[in-house]
Amino acid sequence: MLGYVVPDKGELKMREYEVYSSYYCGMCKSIGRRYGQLPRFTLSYDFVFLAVLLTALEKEADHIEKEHCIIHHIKRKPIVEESEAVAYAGDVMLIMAYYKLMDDYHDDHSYKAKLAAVGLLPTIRKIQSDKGELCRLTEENLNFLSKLEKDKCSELDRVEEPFAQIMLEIFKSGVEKMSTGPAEEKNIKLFSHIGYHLGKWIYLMDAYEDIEENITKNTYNPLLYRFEYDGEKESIPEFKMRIKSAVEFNLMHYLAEISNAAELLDIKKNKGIIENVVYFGLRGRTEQILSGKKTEE
Amino acid sequence: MNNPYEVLGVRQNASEEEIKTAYRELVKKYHPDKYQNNPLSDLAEEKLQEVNEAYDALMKNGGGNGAYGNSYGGAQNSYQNQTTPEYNDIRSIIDSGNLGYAEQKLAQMRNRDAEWFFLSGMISYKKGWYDDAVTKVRTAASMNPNNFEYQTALNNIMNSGRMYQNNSYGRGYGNDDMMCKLCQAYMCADCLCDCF
Repeated sequence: MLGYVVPDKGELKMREYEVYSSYYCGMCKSIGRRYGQLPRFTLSYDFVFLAVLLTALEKEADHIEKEHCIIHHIKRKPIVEESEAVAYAGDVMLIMAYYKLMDDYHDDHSYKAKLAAVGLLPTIRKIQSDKGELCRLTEENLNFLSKLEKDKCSELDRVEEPFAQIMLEIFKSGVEKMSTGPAEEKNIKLFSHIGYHLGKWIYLMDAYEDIEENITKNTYNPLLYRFEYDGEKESIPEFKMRIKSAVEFNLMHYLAEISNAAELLDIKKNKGIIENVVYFGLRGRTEQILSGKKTEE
Repeated sequence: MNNPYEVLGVRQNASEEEIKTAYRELVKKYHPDKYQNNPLSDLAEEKLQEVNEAYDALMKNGGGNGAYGNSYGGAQNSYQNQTTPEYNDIRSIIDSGNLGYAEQKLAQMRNRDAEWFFLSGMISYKKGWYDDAVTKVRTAASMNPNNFEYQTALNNIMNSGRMYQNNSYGRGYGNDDMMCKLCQAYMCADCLCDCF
């Protein structure tokens, strides 16, 4: 489920690209400083968007410094100063990475995943002490999700719901943590809306991308039940063609809601990056998945 | 009131034409049609109000005072043809936002006619369950093909994703495929350089 929330780099301005990278590096540094080197290897780009979005509500300019880092020894990279938003997005990313590994272990009995998850466990314990409620909700929803998957749920919306709720909670509690006083009602509503629909989008993207794999390995995929796949009557590409427009309708609808909510936020900085992700990055990834092209990254 | 120039996103000494263009863009952006049956509609309405006030302040005696504000000011009842008292009741529960209760009431009903599927679909829609909503509203529309309300709702639902696609095209998405590919190639090369 990782690697979907990205900007379209080609459409970013040079400066925006630098700011975006500085958030990524800032999250990495923040994790390294707080939890040591090992967890840094689970870093993905997915929650950089969250960090940028959370800080976009604040007026102060980003503090970006050029620093060395362990992967790029020689060239100095732009790194944004650690803030609550950057630390929060980093924590969330670790939580999601951990559950993803556990999930891989349960699904495919991948011992490599189990080993990595065990490696992450001390870090997760630390995060749990601070973000207990978020971890509890995540776990609860994931358990619920695996129950629906076991029951071979054929209702797309029902099966998307737990993951959407996790993302809703992540975005919502992020904006609640950010504000000094009680968070503005409006921002809580908008962040919840974005998180919820982003969660639905990610889950459906993943389902569509995994159709072949799930059919060949005979594992659950909601789309096979929702659209009554029958291997004797149609080939996999035929099935994908048949359901494509319905899937596209849903994906575009989720993106429309994300953009509708994002348009209502009072964004004070990095607007170009946010609009890039919302209108180019997510859209581009959607069409890439729908056209069946493999991921480059 | 916030600085009207800031609200409209124009510079301090913008010309009348610039203000009008910015205003039109913003009205499009927060238009009630875009937020129909959407939990965010109140926030969009607020924004539109703010935009209207800013525009009025800058135009002072201009002709277009509150042109958009008046026609979309109050919350309009989105349902037109009301049927049985029971359904009317459920409609007002939906309008009040208590979706769980409305759902419960519908579940108790034996007779699943077009109206039942329509209201059930509208609840799904408000919950963000679009796949479910389309299926149900489509069922309602096919059970009662002459119902204008069902047909309109179905069209609106189907349009919302398209509106997003138009928006991203408007910003230059996929304008020139070749150019994009060149950029990607360039970015990849650049990333490599970045490592050292």
